[in-house]
Amino acid sequence: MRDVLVWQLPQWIVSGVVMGCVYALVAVGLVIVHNVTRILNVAQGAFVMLGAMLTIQFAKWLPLAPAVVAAVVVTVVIGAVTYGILIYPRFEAGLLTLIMLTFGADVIFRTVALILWGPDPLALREFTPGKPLIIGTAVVTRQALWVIGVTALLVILLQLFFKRSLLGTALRACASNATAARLVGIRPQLMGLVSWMLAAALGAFAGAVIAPVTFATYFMGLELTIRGVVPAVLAGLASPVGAVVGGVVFGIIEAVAAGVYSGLRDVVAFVCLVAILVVRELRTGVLTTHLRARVRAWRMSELARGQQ
Amino acid sequence: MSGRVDLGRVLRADREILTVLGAAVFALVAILLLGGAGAYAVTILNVVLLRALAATGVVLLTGYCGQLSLGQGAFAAIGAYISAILATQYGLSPWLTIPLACIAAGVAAWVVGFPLLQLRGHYLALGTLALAAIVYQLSVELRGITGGASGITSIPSLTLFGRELGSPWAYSWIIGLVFVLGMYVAGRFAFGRMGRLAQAVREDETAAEAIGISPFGVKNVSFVSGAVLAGVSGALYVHWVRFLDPVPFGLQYSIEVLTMAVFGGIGSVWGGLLGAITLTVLTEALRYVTGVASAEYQALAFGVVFVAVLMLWPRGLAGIADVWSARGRTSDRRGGVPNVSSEGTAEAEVGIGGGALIADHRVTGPIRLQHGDELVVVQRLHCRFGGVKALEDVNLVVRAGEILAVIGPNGAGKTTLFNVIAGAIKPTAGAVTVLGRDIRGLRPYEVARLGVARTFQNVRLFTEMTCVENVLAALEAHDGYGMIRGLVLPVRARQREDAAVDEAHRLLAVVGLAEFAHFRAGDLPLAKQRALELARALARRPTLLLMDEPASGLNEAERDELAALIRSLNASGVTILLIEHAVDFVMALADRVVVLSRGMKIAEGTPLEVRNDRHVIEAYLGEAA
Repeated sequence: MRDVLVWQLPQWIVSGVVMGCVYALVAVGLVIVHNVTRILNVAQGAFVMLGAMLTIQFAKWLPLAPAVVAAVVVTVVIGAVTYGILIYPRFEAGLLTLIMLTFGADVIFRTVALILWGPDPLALREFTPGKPLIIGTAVVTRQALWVIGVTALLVILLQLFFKRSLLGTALRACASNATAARLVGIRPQLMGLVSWMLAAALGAFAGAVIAPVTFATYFMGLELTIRGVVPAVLAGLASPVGAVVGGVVFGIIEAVAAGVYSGLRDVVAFVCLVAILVVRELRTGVLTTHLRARVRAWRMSELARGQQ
Repeated sequence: MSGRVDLGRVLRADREILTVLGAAVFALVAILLLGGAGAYAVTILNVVLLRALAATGVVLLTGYCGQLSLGQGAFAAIGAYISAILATQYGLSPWLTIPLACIAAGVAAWVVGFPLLQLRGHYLALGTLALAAIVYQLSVELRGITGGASGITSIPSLTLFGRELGSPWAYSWIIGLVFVLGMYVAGRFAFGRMGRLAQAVREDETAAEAIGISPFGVKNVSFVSGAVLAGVSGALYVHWVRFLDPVPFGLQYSIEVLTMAVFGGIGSVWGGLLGAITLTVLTEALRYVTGVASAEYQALAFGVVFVAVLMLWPRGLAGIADVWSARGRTSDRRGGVPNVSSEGTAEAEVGIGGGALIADHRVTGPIRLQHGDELVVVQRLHCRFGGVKALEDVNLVVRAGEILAVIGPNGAGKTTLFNVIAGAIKPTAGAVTVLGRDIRGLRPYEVARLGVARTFQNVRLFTEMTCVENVLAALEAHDGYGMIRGLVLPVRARQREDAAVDEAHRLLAVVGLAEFAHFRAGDLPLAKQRALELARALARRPTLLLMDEPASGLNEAERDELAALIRSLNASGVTILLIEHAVDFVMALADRVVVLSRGMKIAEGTPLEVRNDRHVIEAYLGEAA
């Protein structure tokens, strides 16, 4: 048993890193949108699904590279339209309404995808077919390298965009204080639109590179959102870099758990999510101090009883 | 006076009884009418009632308590599977397994509620979504127990006097009966104590905690109530259809139930039923007209309807009905009371008249103290936020029976000190005891329950609730029947609630708001909002009352009235700690004054001593003085 574990572990880690990259991109999308608009976008995973489906669709008519670009462009347009129709008019509505709206958007994307592309998983050919790399006992496909490379590139570009460009700075300003940003002439609603388009682009790229690895299904979006939320929350919904690291770590945890027993796959996501949220709650201290006070009060009453 | 109080009570009482009666009449008429229309019509009715139960659960949790659950399907599935498994594998009668399944769903919600309900807003939505995914996954994976994807077959139906209730019509009587029971639960929740607490938590958790409501406790009751309704819906379904696989309670179920609740009106007990009727009938009609029965288009239609309703009528069908009825009823309900926007009409009542009333109201705390006892002791208190030192080495004693004022320039740390005493901020170092208890580890609602009430610098009311409901929330915060006791002993629970309503009206009279009892709190002008906040604090029968800048935004006359009210409160035994900017106001009112500047205490003494203190003059007028 242990031998099997040792022998398979590197492979699990590799596939974990690959999936983790996708989770990381979903998480970064969630973080960007949340930072600027305070919304947790349930439809973020659907952008990945759309990216994958559209790439597969366009690849039937175009060479791969233009197909990917077209898929990303169309997804970004869809993201912008979604924001324009659903979020922009209700920007001042409560958080509850906004999250329900993104949930509704996810439902619509999912069912439209089902109607357009059917229930069966669709495949995309590898970007550069060829022999896989063998590292120890692990097989690293070329597509895996594409996934890792594209993720790294996107994250670096994103960092440059946020740090160096005017638009990126405006987005950061909006994220840190929307009122102050408005006072210096930045429109939070407009920045919201930009953040949604960015998130859609990230999702679409993720979908395009992962499609050859996992196949594309109409229902993959929501699963990805739930998995992306784990690292996003781990990063406090604030730090894109933290979200990337968290995404990869979570991908590995999930791959190892699924390797041990395949039924664990979904359990892991849920348990991790709840564990992280609870730990977060503990760190903020309210629950901890509460419990501590309880223990202290109990001790005091015990002491008092002892003295009587 | 008493006539108006009774009217309010009758209206409220009626609405609760009307809920149960209305549900009973609807179920009876529908069953009798559709009974003749054939099995298809009755089947539709059964589906509608089952969905309505689950959707009503969403209304309680999301509409009333403001907690979004995307996983109502999880609890329906738990109810369905528990009942099916107990009936098939252990041979128990469905009469027994359905209640057991219902309890199981409630217990499951109670247990998962502990981690999940710590989460706010969207975290909770995602947590419940993940929960639904996991329950679905488990029902597929645990083949030994759930039969996996092939499901559980030959589940027994309900039997009555040895006869199986096999036909949809026979079964619809059972569903109808349970539906009425479900609406009883919903009505008890919505128009009783829990509903008011839930709305308070939805509107402002901080303010709710300040008046002694445990937000977590209230959320958990709402969560469990909603889960029980979903659970019984699932369990009833399974003994009717007599076959169960993971599909019916998957994600689509959660979406449909949520859509129904939103469509029907998430803020109304009737929302679930209205949504279930409309959407089920529309779906069937669509299917009939187009001849297309495909699940994809149905799912898409639900998504589009869901989004459209959220965009266009966020309050759903019941919300539209509410607007109409409110328009029709407003003048009657207010009984010729002058319009609130015309200020100055009832102003003379504030304070002076209230002062006379307070004497017979007798606001006294739960703990008897000798005049001059140490009520609050703050020792060597430090508070830092990052690099900012909000409070440094502050010592403070509040003595029973006094009016102690804390003054200081902006940024002196007054509100921070207040928040520490109220339990809202945890100190970096130092000790704080209130009424002899170390409160550093207590949550704000626990401090409130020690006998500490507070008002806020920026008034924090439950703006969507009426004035009387605002006060009621404070009165009933931890005093009254819980959900289960309220359901078992509805008459006694209602008597207590009615007594609380009377008390609330009396308190409103104390602060001069008697005529505004049924106004939305958010519609009042600022002075009246402050008065209402004070009434809400008094409802706590506080030993110690913390008032954060009570005079800000008031004109000269209103200030005098406020001062008179504070004095009469103090005379009736309430210790008062107040923060104030208006120095004149404080000097005339306080027994002692503490001056903070830049997080440090720079002076303490009688108003006269403080007024002449060199440090104080410096702090207020700058170094040059």
